[in-house]
Amino acid sequence: MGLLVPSGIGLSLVRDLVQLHGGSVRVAIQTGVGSTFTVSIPRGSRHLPADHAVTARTEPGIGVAGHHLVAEARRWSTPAVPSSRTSLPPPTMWAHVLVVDDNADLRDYIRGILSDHCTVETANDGLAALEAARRRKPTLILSDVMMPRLDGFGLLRAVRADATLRDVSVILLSERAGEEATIEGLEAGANDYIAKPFAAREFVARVRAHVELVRQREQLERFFTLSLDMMCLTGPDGHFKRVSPAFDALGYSREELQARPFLDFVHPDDREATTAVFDQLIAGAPLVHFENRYLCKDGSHRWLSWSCAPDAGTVYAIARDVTEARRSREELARARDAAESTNRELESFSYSVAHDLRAPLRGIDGFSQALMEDCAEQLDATGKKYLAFIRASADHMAQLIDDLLGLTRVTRSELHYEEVDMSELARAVVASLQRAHPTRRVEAVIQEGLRCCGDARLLGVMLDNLLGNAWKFTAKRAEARVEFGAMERDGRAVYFVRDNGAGFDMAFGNKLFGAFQRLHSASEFEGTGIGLATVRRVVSRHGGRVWAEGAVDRGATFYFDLNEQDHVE
Amino acid sequence: MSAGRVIMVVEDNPRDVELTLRALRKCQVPYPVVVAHDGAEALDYLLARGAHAERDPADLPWVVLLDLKLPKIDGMEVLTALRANERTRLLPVVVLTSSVQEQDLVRSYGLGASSYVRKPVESAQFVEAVRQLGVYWSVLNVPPRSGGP
Repeated sequence: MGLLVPSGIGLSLVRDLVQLHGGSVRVAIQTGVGSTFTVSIPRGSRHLPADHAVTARTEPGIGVAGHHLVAEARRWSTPAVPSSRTSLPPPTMWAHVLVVDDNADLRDYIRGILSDHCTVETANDGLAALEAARRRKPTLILSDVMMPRLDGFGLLRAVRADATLRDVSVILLSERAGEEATIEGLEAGANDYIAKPFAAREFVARVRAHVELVRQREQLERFFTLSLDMMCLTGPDGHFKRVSPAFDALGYSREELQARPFLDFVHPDDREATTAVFDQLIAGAPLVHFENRYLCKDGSHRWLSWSCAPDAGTVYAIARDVTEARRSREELARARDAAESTNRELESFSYSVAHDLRAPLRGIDGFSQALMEDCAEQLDATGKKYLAFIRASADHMAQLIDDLLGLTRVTRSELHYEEVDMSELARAVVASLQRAHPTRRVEAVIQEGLRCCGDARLLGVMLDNLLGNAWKFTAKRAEARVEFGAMERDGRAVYFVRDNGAGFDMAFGNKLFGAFQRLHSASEFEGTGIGLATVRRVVSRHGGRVWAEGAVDRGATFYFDLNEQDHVE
Repeated sequence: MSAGRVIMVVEDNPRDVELTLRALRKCQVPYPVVVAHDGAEALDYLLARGAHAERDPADLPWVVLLDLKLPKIDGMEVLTALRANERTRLLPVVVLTSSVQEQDLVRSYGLGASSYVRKPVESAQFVEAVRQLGVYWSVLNVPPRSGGP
C-alpha cells in the first residue's frame, strides 16, 4: 500500500478491514487544511473466498468499523491537546492517569481518548514518569515497555519499591503481543497488560475497570485507616502483617508491632487462651469472638474484644477497646453487691428489731396483766389505773415497732404489678374499720369502678393508712363523712381521700409525710406518725406523688397519683 | 395413752417462760410442763440423747411450744431436725412468734410447723392453737362449750 499509517490504532484497523475486503485506503494530506481518506472496496463478492460471503445482512449503515473510523477521524480533526469544548461530558472517572511512552503520537493519541474521562499527564520515559508520579500520585500508570533511560519493567520495579507509590496500578502497553509477553509483564507486578494495537473503546473500558478496582481498594483502605476499632492481618507465623492506625492507642509504632510475634503483646495471663483461639482460626474455624488483654507500651493493659475470621492462611481481626465498658460493668456489679449486702443487713436488722425489741415489752405488758388479774384485790383504784397506763404504753410501743417494720417492708419488698380494683380495696378497708369500731357512725362514699395498675398489697397498706386516718380524725364529728374517689388531671388519674374531720394547718403541711411527725397530740388522737410516711413511700415506689390540702377543723383531703404507664404490659 | 406425757416449752427468756407457764395454768392443762432453754437441750430431750439418753424415745410430749430465736440451735433448725426424724415427724409443734412476720410464718409452715401462737402466750390463743391441732381433748381438761368442735 505504501501508506504510512500513524501510530494510532484506529487507522491500522481500518487498513486491516479494508484489505480483508480486497480493497485499498489512500490518504491525501494537506498540512493545515485537512486530510482526505479514500477507501476503495470492490463491489460484489466474487473476489472474496466463498466462505467469507454472507448475504443476510442488508441493513445500511457504517457498522462498528465505520464508527471507529468516524470517531478516529473526529479526533484527528481537533488539536491533540485537551480541548475546551463545552459539549464534552464531565470526567466520568475521578482518576489521574499517567501515560508513559517515548512516542509522542501515541502519548497524544491516548491523551485524546482518555481526556474526556479523567485527567491525563504524560511522560516520555520511565525516569520522567517516576518524577511526575512522585510530584502527583496517579491513580493509574499506563506505560510502554520499550523506552530509553528507564524502560517499562524498570519503572514498574521502581514504583513497587517506592513506599508511597507501591499501590499504584500499572498497566503495561507493548507491541509485543502474545502470551509470553503478557506473563512476563504480570509476573513483574503489572496489574494488566494491553497489547498494541488496541481499539479506543476497549482501551477506555479497560482503564475504567482498573480505575474502579483502585477505587474499591481505596475505599477499603480508607475504612481501614479511619476505623476507631483496631484492625489487623496476621500471618500463620503469628506476626502482624498489617495493623491499622487505631493500634497506635497501645503506644507502639507499627514497626514495633510487626517486629515481634503478636503474642508478645498479649497479657501473660491471656496468652494460653489466645493461642488456643489463634490455633482454631489457623485450623479454619470460620469466626471467633473472644476477649483478651493487650499490654500497652506504658505498662498498663487494655481489654480488647475481638472478632476474627481466617482466609487463605491470614487471620483478619478487628478489636474494640472494651476496657471502660468492663470497668463500668465491674463497678456496677460491685455497687450491686454492696447494695445487696446493705439490704441483707437491713433485713436482719429489722428482723432483730421485730423480735428483740418486743421481748421486754412482752414482760412489761404480760406481767402488768398478770398483776391485774392475779393480785387485783391487793391494788386500789390508783394502782389499777397506773397498771392500765403501763399496759397502754407497752401497747403503744408495740404499735410503733409494728408500724416501723411495716414502713421498712414497704420500702424493701419487690413490687408485683397487676390490675387493682381500688374501689374494692377501699370498700374492704372501710368494712374492716367499721368492724373494729362498731359504735362509730361514718358515711363512707366510695366512687365505683376505679382501677389502676400497681402492687395490690402495698396499695392496700396505703389505703389502710389514708382511710384509717380519715376514720380517726372524724371521731369527734357528729356527722362524720369519708370519701374516696378520683379525678382527671393532665391525662392522669388523681385519687383522693377526703374527710370532714379535724383537718390540719397548711403551714405545717410539709411535716405531714415525715416519719414520727405528728400534728396532733396523743391526747387528741392516737398515732405513731408513721402512717403517712408509709403512704408516701408506697406512692413514690409506684412513681407517683402525694400531697394534702386541709384547714383546722374543716377536714383534710389527701391526693395521690400513680405512674401506671411504665408498668402496663 | 402414756400417763407420763408432758407439754414441752422451748424458750430461753425466763420471763416469757413464766408468762407461758401462767397461760397454761390458766387453761388448766392437766399435764406437767417441761422447759428447755435452748434448741440443743430440746433436741436432746425429744430424741432421747446426750443428757437425756436414758429417756424412752417413744415417750413424746403432747405438744411442743417452740420459740424461733433460741441460743445454740434456733427454732427453725430444731423443727427441721424433728421433721427429719421418723419418730418425731408427726409430733405437734406450735411455733411461738414475736411478731406476725410473714417470713417467719411462711418459713415455719414450710418446715412443718403445726400451728403458731403469738407471744406472749395467752390462754385463749393457746387453746385455739391446740384446738386447731386436734389434740384439744387429749391435752385440755376443759368442758366442751356450746358450738365447740
